[in-house]
Amino acid sequence: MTKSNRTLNRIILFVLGIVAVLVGLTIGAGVLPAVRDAVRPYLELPRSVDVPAASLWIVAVACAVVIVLALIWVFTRGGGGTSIAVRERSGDDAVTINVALVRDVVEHELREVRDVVNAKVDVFLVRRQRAARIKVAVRRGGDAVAVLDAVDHALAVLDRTLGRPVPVLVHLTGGTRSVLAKPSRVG
Amino acid sequence: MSSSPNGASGVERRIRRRSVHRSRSTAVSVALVVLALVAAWIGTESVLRAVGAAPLLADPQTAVDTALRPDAAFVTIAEVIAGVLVVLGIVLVVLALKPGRQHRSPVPHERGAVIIDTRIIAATAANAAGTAAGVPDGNATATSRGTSTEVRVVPVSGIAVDEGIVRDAVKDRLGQLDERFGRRVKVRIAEQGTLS
Repeated sequence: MTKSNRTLNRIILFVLGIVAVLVGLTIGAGVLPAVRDAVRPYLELPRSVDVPAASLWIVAVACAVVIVLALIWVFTRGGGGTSIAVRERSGDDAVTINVALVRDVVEHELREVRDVVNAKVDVFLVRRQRAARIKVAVRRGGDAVAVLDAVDHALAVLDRTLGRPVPVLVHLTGGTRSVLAKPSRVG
Repeated sequence: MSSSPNGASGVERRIRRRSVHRSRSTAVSVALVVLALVAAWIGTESVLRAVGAAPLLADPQTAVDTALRPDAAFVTIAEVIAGVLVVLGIVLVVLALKPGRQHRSPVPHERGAVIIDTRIIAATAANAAGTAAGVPDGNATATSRGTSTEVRVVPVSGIAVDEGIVRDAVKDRLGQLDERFGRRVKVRIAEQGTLS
């Protein structure tokens, strides 16, 4: 849901994995004769490598670059969440609607629905468009069809309130709270 | 807003897809932090060696020599490090290549993109079965896997439960979510009833 680039994430994992396997095999080849014999047809590992003094600074700089890139990637991940649900511009004026309004409307509409435990609304910037994610926790043993009808109704009210349809993702989930919620009783 | 047959816009399709598949952000972060720590160690040792100071653990030349041809004392350590690296690498590659689907299904819907947890689909099936069979809430349970659903009903003693009616009710209810879910429904009625 966030802005993180998932393809790049996969590529990073893949490359790091391959590197780890290769380094592991190299070290293993020095210790375990079985590994050494298995690797031998493909490459002959040198018995010893000289580390020249000149390369030390290059290694140090390369390590620093790796550290900086790794930390930048780690700390810039996520993001994309926003508190503004709608922004309309006309000339110099802009009208913004806060996510709190969307939250209030959705929660109010879903409060009386029997199988809904609670609803959570977040707004994300996806490709410079704002989209709302509505996570609806459904009671254990609840009926998704009825809940979906109620959500449809809530969305219709929301569209009327905001004046235009906002892209939404509805996620019916069984949160931890819905497991603890009491089953409803029919008298 | 461009509309696809089931009404979801491009943005909605994108967030739906991203919700069904797991993000590897956490795994990437952990791997990168470990990488940064290792790089920090190698860098420090290089600098210490370059300025002629004493190494923290081992200077680069010793480390490389030991890794390629360890002496007796380091054989076990080298073995352990090699094993851990290989296993870790395989785990990362598997994480990178597996589709990483979560237990959720996208459901076609007129307004918005909808995804439903498999557990909630099962709950819906149990709910429909319980209503059709006329048994209390806890007597109907269901499990879902992909698009197939299995329902188990424990009848209240003295009142027979018709398997066909229950199956039709479940199929009908799940079919309202998506016709895929209604196709493969299995119903099992327990032989032994319970007292209500």
